[in-house]
Amino acid sequence: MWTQFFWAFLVGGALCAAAQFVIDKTPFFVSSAHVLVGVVLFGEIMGFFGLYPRLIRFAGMGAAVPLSGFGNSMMEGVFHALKDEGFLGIFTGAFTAGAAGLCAVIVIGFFSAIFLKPKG
Amino acid sequence: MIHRSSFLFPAPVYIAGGAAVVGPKEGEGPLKEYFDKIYPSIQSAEESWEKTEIAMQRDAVNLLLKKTRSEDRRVDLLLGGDLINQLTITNFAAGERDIPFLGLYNACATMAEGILLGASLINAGYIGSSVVVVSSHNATSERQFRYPTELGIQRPSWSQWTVTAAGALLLSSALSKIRVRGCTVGRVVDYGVKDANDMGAAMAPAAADTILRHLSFRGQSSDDYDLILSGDLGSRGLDLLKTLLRKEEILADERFQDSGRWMYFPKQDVFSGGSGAGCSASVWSSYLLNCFREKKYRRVLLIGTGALLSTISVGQGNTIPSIAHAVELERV
Amino acid sequence: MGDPLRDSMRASLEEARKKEYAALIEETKAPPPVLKNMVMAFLVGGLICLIAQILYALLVGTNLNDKDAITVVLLFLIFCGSVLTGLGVYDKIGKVAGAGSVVPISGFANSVVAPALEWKTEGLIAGLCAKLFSLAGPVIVFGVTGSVILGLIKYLWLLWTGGVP
Repeated sequence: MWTQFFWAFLVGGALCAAAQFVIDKTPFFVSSAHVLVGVVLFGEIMGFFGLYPRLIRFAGMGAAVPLSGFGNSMMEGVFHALKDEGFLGIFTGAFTAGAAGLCAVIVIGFFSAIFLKPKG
Repeated sequence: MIHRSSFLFPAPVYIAGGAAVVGPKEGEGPLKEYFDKIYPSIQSAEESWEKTEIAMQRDAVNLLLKKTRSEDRRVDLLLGGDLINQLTITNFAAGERDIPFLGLYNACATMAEGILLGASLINAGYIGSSVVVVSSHNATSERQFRYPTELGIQRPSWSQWTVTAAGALLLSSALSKIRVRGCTVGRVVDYGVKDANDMGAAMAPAAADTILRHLSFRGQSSDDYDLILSGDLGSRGLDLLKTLLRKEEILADERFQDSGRWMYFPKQDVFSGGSGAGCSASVWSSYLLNCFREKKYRRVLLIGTGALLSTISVGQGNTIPSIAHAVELERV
Repeated sequence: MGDPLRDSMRASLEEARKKEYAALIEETKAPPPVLKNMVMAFLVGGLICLIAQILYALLVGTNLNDKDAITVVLLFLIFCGSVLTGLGVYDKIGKVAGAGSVVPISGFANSVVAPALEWKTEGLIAGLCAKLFSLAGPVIVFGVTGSVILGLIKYLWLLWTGGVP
């Protein structure tokens, strides 16, 4: 268990540090939207080759918490649906797998924005 | 005397007084004791940031009229501007007043543009007095021009902090201590800077162009001024301006200063310095007038610099056209 | 004026001046402190993942299965990211941590809540809700489109190799 904590910290931190490196070395200003798009695509491509699930088994939340984990789970969802439903699964898998995350972001985001105020 | 939009006013035009209202961060800066009113929060008692900015403009003009013992009916013209789409702020603030109004937009050069126009009209004899009021607000501009204020992103060291402030000046033909001697209308200069965070670099060539034109029109050198004060180039823009001027063999020394750098202490985490239309407006209408009163300066050249960018132009990857207007002030 | 030779000379002089200036602004830009930024991103990003891992370890001890435990932890992080954004804390973390607080899923929540908060003055539907995905929308668009394209590739590969389900 303790080694899992260690690897979660190390892998999660390393993914963030790598993203920071790309941000700082990009010649133009990148917003968090740009960064997150890159991270999600990274997760999907790693998931496509079956590498990301291995990283999650190894580093646990260190790989699941960065948004690349979200990309990977959408990719996995597509593969699962493809297996179960055939061709149509390509179009249902991503949302099925991402449902919990997306739903939470929408609902929690909605209520946070309603009840809280921007501080500037 | 007129030469290609450089004017030297033969009729006397004076700055009768000024008032500045600022936000909390500016109220912790080095100039805090010179401001007339400091808001405790960037949103005080109003339902939106925009309405807070309108209130700041209202307060600035009210305080100015009180200080100069004037009133709406005795002012011939209101010149005003801000940074928000279609001059939303100024239009509402001006709507509360009984003064004929012209809205101006020159980004952070709006105060200089206002002084220039007001003084020209007074010099021509069309009006006797004019109030110039200009404001900006950190949160209203950030959300319009860049990203939401609560977004957790890092900004580069060369970006600038938009000032929350409103400044108002009363221009008049009646004799007082500070005379508007002349001015030079700037040209739009575009050296191809595209980074919307790097406004100092975008504006420096415009400032250099206007300074060179004004000095050559007046047959002066930079030695003839006690202070050449740019409006919001920030540390970075000021350094670039000095480099550009040195190439033209102008002595660019400590007399070159920047309002955006005066506004904050370096430790206030404002990157290259303050910017925003309210920055030069509030510094000029408070601290600078005070310096004149204390006889610190005799002749000052104000350079209002504006980066004429919009979310559309930046989004489409265009360069940032910039402008600078010069206003020459003299202690009488 | 009107002299084409002089005009072209002036144009080329102007061009040279602009090029020189572009070089000047590049060399006077202080580069970001990459190493320091990376260390901060590593520490904060790592810490968020560590907290998530501890929560996960606690949850797996209860009768939740592995997959549900991960989902619960992610929901908790989304909640924290949203609330801290609304309390005006997340942007301060982000200023120090950079990618360290952007890349974890709480950063995704931040980019959802931040625009929604500011535009709620423009109304519930046209303001808050419309802006909810103004920054996070592209992430979902790329995520979903990417997975569909890669899914198609996989499908074609299976067709080719005869492994179609």
